[in-house]
Amino acid sequence: MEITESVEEYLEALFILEEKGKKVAKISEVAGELKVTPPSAVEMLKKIEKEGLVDYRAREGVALTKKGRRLARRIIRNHRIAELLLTEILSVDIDDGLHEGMVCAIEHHITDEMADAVCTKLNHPRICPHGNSIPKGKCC
Amino acid sequence: MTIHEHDIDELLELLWTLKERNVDSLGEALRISEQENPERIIEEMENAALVEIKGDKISLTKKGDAMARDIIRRHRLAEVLLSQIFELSDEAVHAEACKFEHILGPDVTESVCTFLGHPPVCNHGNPIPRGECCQRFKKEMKPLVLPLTELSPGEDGRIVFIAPKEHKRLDKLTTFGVVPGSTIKLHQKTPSFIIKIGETDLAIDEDIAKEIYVRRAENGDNRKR
Repeated sequence: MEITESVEEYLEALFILEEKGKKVAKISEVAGELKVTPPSAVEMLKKIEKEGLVDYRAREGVALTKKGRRLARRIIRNHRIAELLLTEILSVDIDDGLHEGMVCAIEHHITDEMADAVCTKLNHPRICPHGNSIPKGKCC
Repeated sequence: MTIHEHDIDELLELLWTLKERNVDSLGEALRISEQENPERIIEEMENAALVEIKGDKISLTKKGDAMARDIIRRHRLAEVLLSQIFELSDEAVHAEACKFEHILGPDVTESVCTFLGHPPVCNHGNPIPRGECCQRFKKEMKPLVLPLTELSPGEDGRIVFIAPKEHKRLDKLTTFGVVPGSTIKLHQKTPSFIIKIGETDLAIDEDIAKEIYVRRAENGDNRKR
């Protein structure tokens, strides 16, 4: 299976739930985070499990594997760096509800080289505009 | 964005660059297109009234021309941003610009253009189509992040980033606490720039002051945190 943008969205959601202290997330929580129905979350998570990116246990919930977390970390980093690129450098208000789609498009498409370049330019910031921590990259 | 729209964007871009070279041959466009099955894409574009074809002559309609113009503008602005501000390699600049041209929304495109000071040409010297912000530029649109040299004496600024021509300089500035995030006050501009950072007064050359980009503090740092 190719790691598509929607797989990345799931990994990202699980990472965010982990940050909130939920190492093992309930399906309803994952579905809520992604605004999908629980059955479609289950279907997708089963596919992602086959790639070794998550552990899924019926009744208990779902958790990132080491490999899944590594991928998730990179997407989260790209997302938060993209936010800073827009707010800090380009003075764009990203909380007006119009830019979420663009931030997501950037997070899935920028290379590590680009993320590192922005990160370095901003002196390796540790938090995004919303106060969430930015995972360190190679440049940090 | 569907692959389909993406294909059309690529062809619009190609036709625009051919037009810049005064080439209007359909055969030439088909030959150099990197898209799969360009014939079919062109057909779609003709149906959508983006191009007109007469024999071997292809031209953009008013609608197609406006779309192509926006894509080219986004691509070339992204090139300038990525190479001049982020110092990416030429290869990386090209690859990223090709993505950014599809991603940037109209207001962010204006922000990039304004931030860069409405550059007239891209890295390769090709003209960047003007946007609305460029017309307004002289009257009202002032970039929010500007070189330290643009501040007036007495003004405060918060450092956003530093674009040093020499990396040694960056190390030196860092030792003095001149790093992104810190607040400075500009004391004087002549004969040299004197800034106050924390409790320290620091004299710097104009060349260096030009490389320190700040956001005016008095404008109210009204970003949501």
